[in-house]
Amino acid sequence: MTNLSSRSDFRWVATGGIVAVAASVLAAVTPFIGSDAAAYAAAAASAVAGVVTLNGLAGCRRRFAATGIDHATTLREQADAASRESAVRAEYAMVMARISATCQKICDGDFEARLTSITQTGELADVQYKVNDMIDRCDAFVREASASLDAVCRNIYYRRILLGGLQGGFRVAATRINEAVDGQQKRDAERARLAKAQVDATAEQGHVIDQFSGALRRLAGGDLTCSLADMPENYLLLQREFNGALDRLRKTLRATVGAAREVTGAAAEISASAMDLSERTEQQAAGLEQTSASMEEISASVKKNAKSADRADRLAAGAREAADHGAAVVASTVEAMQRIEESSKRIADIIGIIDEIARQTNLLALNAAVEAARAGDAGRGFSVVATEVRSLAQRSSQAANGIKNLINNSSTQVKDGVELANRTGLALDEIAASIKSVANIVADIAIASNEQAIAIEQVNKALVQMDEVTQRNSSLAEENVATAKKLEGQSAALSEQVAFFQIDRPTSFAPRAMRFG
Amino acid sequence: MSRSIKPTNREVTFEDREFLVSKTDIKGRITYVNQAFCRVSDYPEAELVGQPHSIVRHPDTPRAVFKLLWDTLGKGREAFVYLKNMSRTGDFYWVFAHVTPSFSNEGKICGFHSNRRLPDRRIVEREIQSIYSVILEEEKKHRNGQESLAAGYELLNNLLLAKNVSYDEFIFSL
Repeated sequence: MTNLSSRSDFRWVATGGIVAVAASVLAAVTPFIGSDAAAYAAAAASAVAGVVTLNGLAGCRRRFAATGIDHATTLREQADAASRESAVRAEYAMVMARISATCQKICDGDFEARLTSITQTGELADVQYKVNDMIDRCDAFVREASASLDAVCRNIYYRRILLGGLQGGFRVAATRINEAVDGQQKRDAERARLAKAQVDATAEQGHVIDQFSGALRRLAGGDLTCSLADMPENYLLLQREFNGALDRLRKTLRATVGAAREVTGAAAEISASAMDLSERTEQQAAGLEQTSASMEEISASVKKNAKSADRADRLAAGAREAADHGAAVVASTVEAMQRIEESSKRIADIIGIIDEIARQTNLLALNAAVEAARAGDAGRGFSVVATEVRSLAQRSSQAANGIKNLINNSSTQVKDGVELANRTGLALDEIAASIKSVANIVADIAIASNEQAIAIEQVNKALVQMDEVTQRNSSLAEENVATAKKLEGQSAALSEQVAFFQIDRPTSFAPRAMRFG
Repeated sequence: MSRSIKPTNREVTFEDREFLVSKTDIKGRITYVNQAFCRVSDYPEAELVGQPHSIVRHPDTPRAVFKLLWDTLGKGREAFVYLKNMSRTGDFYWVFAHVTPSFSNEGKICGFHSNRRLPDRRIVEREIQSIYSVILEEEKKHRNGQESLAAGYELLNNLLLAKNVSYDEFIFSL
């Protein structure tokens, strides 16, 4: 009991000293790992060290006092006991001195100190072994702890304090230190991660700025195909906005290019048609002059027409009179013819009488011949006269017949003449009527000519107005030509300005190659 | 110390709460061992102190591993290493050693400290044994000690290169 107790006291003392050392070591390493755990362990160890050391020293004193009383029973026993006691005391004293010296070295930080060459046996040896064990434990712990922290200083975190064989406070302190190392590792990893993230972000930013400034440079050079692509995730919004703006710009410019092209085309067309218009206006003016001249000629011929119509009218009136006179002549002729007919009838009557006389004479001459023939020769002279008379009568009858035939012929011819005269009269009437129609027509012509003259006057007025308008048109057309030329020039300038921009990516290498080739 | 310990196939083990601790001076001579070390290696303290650390070296552990260990320590850095050690009787025991240089007040390396834990048996069986046997086989191909070490060391580095990790990363990934 005693021995066990005394051994226990030594342990207390030694443990107190070593724990104190451990505490100071922990306190020393605290700044290395910047951890509350180490500081906590150090403070706790210091406190424990003080308590256990006091405890142990008090116990030692008590037990030495008790040992003296227990062994003084008999004298011999007392003598033996005294010699044993002195030997034991000497042994104790020596061991105590060794332990004390060793502990002092430990307290001074000499962790190499051990109790070596232990000659004692039994409890005194055990005590020393235990002291060694304790120092070993503390030594090992300090070595482990400082090696682990040293590794931390070199950013090596896998070097944990191995917990194998560590118990109680050692294990707690080792665990705390390992936790502190873990924490440090995490912080270090986090710091490294942050630093890397910072570096990455900076690199990314640099990359983005490069891309962006490259795109802006191309944009400044008129290249609108400088869309951004493959931007880092954090800059996708920038990419989208920039590309959107480019897109709108491209659309606008494309529309402008199209409009400029159309305007240029339209301006050229306007220019061409303005010139065309100008030419035609001039032609029109020339045509108008000719028309004006022609109108004057027409006007003169219309006037001449009117005069001719007048004359024709007068001539027609004369012709009518002549026709009327002709009709009267024809009537007189008919009367004369009728009188000739009547005379012919009377001549025919006379000729009948003459014929009758001739027939009578013939008969008488015949009778005279008959009577002359009865008178024979005497009558012979008579008979010749009778025959003569008879021949004359016959010749008279024949002449009368001839006249009769002539008269008859004459009558027929008179009838024909009357007929003809009548027909002439009718024809003359028709002529008169025709002349009247002609006169009317001529009058109409005269009226129409007058109307024409008035119309020509109006046409002339219209021509004058047209001439004025044409003059104005001509000057406007010339202005148009000038304006169209100006427009053409401006639209060409606009096209040139817009052509500065490259809106679409070239579809093949050919145009670019050609541009540089 | 005349030594011709024959390795046995017996395994000695210790509790997972225990640390086998030793300290050496700058030349690798043992200056301190703890009780557990003595018990498991079956040596009394007196037989260990003053001896080179190779006293517990097992022939199954490739020399390349020690080269790596000492190269690392020489740079003033800690080293973790799985080791198959051998006790006085030839029995073997696997440890997972955390070896650290000790520094004087002037900041110079004044010795080394090794703190050995009971390794995870699964890691040893699944990863370490196979790697060590391959390296060991390579080392045995060479008669010349230097060449043997160089070949084993190159193989070890190539194995790490194939995994694209540093040695420490590899150890801590297990």
